[in-house]
Amino acid sequence: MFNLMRNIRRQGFKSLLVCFIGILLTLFLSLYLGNIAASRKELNHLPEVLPVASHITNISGSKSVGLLIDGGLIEKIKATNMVNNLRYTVQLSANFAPETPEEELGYKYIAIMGVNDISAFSLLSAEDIEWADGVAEDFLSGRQAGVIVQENFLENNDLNIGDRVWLSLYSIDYGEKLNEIYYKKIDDIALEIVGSYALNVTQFGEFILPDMICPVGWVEETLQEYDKKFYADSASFVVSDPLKLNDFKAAMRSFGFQPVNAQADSYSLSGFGLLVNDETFVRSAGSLQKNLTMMTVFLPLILLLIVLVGYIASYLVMQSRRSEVAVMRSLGVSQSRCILSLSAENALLVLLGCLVGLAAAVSFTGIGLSGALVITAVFFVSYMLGVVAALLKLSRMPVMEVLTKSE
Amino acid sequence: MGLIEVKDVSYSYQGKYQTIEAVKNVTCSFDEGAFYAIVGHSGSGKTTLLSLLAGLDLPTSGEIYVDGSAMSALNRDRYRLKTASVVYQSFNLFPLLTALENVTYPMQLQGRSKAEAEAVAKQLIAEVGLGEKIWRRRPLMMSGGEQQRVAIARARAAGGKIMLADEPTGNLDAKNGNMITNQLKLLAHERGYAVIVVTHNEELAKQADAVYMMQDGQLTTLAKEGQHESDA
Ligand SMILES: Nc1ncnc2c1ncn2[C@@H]1O[C@H](COP(=O)(O)OP(=O)(O)O)[C@@H](O)[C@H]1O
Ligand SMILES: [Mg+2]
Repeated sequence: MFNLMRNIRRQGFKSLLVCFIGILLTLFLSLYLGNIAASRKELNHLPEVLPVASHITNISGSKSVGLLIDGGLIEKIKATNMVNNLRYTVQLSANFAPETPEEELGYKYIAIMGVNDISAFSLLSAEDIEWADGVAEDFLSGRQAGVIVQENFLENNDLNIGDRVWLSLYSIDYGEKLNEIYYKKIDDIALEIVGSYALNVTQFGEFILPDMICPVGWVEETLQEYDKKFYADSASFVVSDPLKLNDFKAAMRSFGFQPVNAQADSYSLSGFGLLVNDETFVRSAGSLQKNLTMMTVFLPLILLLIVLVGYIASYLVMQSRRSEVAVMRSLGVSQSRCILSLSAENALLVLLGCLVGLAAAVSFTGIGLSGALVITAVFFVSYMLGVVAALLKLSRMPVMEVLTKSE
Repeated sequence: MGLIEVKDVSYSYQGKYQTIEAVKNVTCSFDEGAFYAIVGHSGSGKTTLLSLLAGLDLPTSGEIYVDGSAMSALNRDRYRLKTASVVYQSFNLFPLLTALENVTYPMQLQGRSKAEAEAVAKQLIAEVGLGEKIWRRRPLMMSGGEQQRVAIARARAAGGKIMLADEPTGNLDAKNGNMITNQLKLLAHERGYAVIVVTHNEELAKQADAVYMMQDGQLTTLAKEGQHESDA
């Protein structure tokens, strides 16, 4: 080892060359591995950047509200843990109990919507709601017997926040062919008015704007209490792990959901269609995945390339030192010690180059300390593998022949 | 029994298409304190025999004993590090090291301190008749005679008692050749080395205590002038 630094210094240009090779290879490897890491990170963050939203429709995809979605399906979807932000609504109707006779319901109709979150009803946002003291947004995700009432309705019916309204509640049923609406009385029930809301629209297609909004959880509980079946009016959610989109779709298929088919009956109200807005995600994820696979497949080749460069570079550089190695062998330096001291020279130079290359790579890309360590280790091991192979080949020489050949 | 005993040694180069038997059934012995010359035509196997004596190769058959130990059982790197040194026709100094560094090299390999090695090296360089001026010179700045003398100093630095040389005067003029011859002879006679020199140099062969003739891989003893073959 005592000759190490001196040899490096005296090899001058060749030392610089080895160092430079170290810089180039490290830079190249940093960019390559950095690219893989970046793609992997991007792929992992893709679900946040491009969430895959999905909602239930009728079989033709023409309707996504006003559906009959079996409550059991909602429970099944919840149980899969494959979706986030599950939002669903229900529609009820009511009139003021008990004075209004049943046959007049058609025109003294109070539309009630059950939701599990403000966002389940696209026309409503948090600012539009005024809450009674002590009540907050999470009221809608609970099961409390209460409603928030549209401002105009409050005014027209002389009601105030904090009042209790006594309502005859009806669940909506659509008949066998799903083209007739029936109302089925649940009971007369008292509900507390816990807030009011303003709607900025008065008309929204054929959609009936709700006069009151209540927690869907309360509706579910109440229907169960009265032994009536729960049907949701709309349901939407976000796929929690879009990278496992196929698993999700398979699960949904097993529940009876089908991809929408525009040719199918567009009047159907039955909520068996599933619309998944995954095109952008699938396209982006697909190309990322393809790149990632390519780069990963080529990684061993890249490493092999580094081994090869290490081999060729040190073989060529050491070629001119063949007789020096022969003299060492002649003086009794063992082959392994020759290899050790010569690889130490190479190791030092190439590590120096590696550090310079890393410094450059760090300023180009955002590699952290652990990344730099990985690159150093991968590069160093690969390169030195080549060096040691070359030195093995070089030091296994006919010493006498090399030293007696007159130059 | 001699310091080196060569017993029925043969060596063949295994080529791709042919096998060359370079050394054939050689038996001989070399003593401490004696100066040997091996002569013979080019290609007769002299260098090959020397490389076997240096432990750079093992005989294809037969055995070489050094101080009673079989070469094939020795650590041959260690043998060259401690016991036997080789001097070459083309000097073979480390081109990037100074004369002093070249001579200290074997001692530093043996783990001696730099200061101690340098002190010994300076002594050895003085003993081959070179002055302080040479210490910091690299081989390129030395004459052939100087290089070969530094090479002899380096060969001695290891401290062994076997000195092998392959045409040590081959690249030198007569004056320098004679100087090298005399130094090798002194090593044998005054310092107790077994000195074995392969040579074409008749002057050198004349100075030797015993001369072997290599012919087509076979070794025969040549009678020295004024001696009878039976003396050998
Ligand atoms: N490395 C080698 N491979 C094959 N044949 C060799 C090799 N070295 C020497 N020889 C052959 O062995 C014989 C002896 O060579 P060598 O020992 O160099 O003779 P000398 O030193 O007397 O000139 C020659 O015929 C030579 O061609
Ligand atoms: Mg020869």
